[in-house]
Amino acid sequence: MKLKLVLENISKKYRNKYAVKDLSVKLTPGVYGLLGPNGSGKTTLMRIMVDILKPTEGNVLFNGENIHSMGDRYRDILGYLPQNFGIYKNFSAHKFLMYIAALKGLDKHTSLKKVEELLEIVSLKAESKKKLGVFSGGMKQRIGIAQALLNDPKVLILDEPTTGLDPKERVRFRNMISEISRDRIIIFSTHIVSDIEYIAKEVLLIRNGKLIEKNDVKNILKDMEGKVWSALVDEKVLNELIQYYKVGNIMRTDKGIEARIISPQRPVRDAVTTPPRLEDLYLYYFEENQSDEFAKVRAL
Amino acid sequence: MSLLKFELYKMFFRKITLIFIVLSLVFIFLKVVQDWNEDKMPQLHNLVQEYNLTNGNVNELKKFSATEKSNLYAATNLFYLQDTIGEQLYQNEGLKNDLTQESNTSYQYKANLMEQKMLKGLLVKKAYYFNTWGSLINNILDFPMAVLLILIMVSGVFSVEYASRMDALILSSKQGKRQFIRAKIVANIIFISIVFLSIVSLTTLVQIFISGFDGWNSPIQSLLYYQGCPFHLNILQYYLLGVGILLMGLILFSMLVLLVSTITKRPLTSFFITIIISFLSIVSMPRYGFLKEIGVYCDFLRPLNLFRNFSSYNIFGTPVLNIIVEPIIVIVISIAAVYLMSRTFRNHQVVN
Repeated sequence: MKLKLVLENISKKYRNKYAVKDLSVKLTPGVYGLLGPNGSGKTTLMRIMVDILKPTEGNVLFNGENIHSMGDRYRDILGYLPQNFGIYKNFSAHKFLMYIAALKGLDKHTSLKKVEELLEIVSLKAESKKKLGVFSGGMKQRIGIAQALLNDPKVLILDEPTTGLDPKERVRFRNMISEISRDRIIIFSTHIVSDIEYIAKEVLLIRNGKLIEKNDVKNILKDMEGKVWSALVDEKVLNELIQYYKVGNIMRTDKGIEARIISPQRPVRDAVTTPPRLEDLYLYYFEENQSDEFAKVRAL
Repeated sequence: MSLLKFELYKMFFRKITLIFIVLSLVFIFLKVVQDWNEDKMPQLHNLVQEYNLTNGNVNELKKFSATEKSNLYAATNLFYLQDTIGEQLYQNEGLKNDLTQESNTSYQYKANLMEQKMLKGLLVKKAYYFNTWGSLINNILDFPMAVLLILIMVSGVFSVEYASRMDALILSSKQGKRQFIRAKIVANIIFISIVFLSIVSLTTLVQIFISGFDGWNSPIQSLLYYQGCPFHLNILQYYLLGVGILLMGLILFSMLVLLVSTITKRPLTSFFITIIISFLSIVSMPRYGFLKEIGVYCDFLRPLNLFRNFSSYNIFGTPVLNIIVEPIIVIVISIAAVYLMSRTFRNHQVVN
């Protein structure tokens, strides 16, 4: 049976503000990138999908059954890496993973095997006896990733999993996620668009608690075609561009300043269209006009 | 099982546990040493024997000042024997009078009759020396400092998981909403039993080593505050029974403490609430409104309350001893606390 996770009209209201509003989505095996700025409702949505936060309205269904009613059965096939998760500082990495394995209901023999295997995968085997209290942010994050995978979850929910990882670790992590994604539903939230650019089957764009786009990377980028421009400009023109357009990468060269501009119309006479990237999409949907931001930087 | 082992590890290998165990031991040992008077005790022992042989004709007694006498109340009943005899006679006379005034079908009549029967043959007529046991009862049962410290040690069992942000991992795991709670409760019971019984055993051994075993078979009524006790027990029997009752009270009361820790989000808050409710329960909980039921815990955290006087409940006109009724009340409240605690933790919403 093909796995299916369905979110039906999910809303979550805190006092008089909606963190998530009337969000519906159907997910099948593969990696889903959840993209949105801070405070857009990504973490709230993930907590609802993990059943540690009750939605004000709506249901989450796994293969047609409400996850809350499924209880232990749902949590048995679930792997979750929360953002800023807790650890016990006086536990060693090995002990901590054995503890989480016990929480996940794994028997001792399986736990030992899985823990060794995952410590190897996250490159922490040599540090397995060290206390978590002395671990760096990146090492803790790798422990978090390992614990989420202990029970071979069918539904894997990862909230900002690449935070604190160095570029090499990020690539390793992305490849691992890609490898295991064939028969699992993986939801992966991030700010770093390159993390999901190559591995996400679909990207979910979320803003102010609302799903504004759900499509595969190719199609989303196709919609952006003709909206991303590249132009060689001088300082004065750049200042004007920043005031009126969303400006992406800026590179200073001997010939002038090469700027990447997001705009439905040609922003300057010499601008040429350039193939869009997921990074441009992020700017297009989420970044407000950057003039204020730039003004602050320039004033320094 | 492995979850239980981890929970026990978490409880035992905390700095606060070590600090409080050391504090409890230091406090109790200081009391033991303070109570022991190397010069006075052998002399006192001989005086008790002489007193009984001469029917109270001992001149040496006059040499003890009032302060010395009051400091030695836990070692012998020599200085308040006459008061005890007087009080017991007065109590018996009072009961006889009450029986003539009450209708023989009333609850009060039945209760008085029951008390009179229980008190029969329990009059204290001679002096006893019981320094070891008097001290132990005084330090462990009558003002259980160790109990307060142990309750503080378990005060943050659940709230610490919220504060350390482990709640998200726990509640999203298969065993996080059932087995985890069970493991916490069982670990709490084992932890309390081990710590409490270790403190009691160590203190008892040190006390016996310092001041001997004498006086174990003195009647409980020879102890100050227990003259009106209606139970036929010697001091050793009472001490063992008291330790058992205290342990049971401690375990059952800890369920309320655990409930507090599931409700409060910060360990420090549960720490202070625990100090307040434990202190009130040990010293004296006001017994009105809903506090009346919780106040029953006082008797279990301070066995003196259960044993010092005859006390019964009116159950459909029949007197039933508090020692039978109160455990039932406390167990029912504790079961309700366990239910609420499980519900609160299971439904905890991970927001921050």
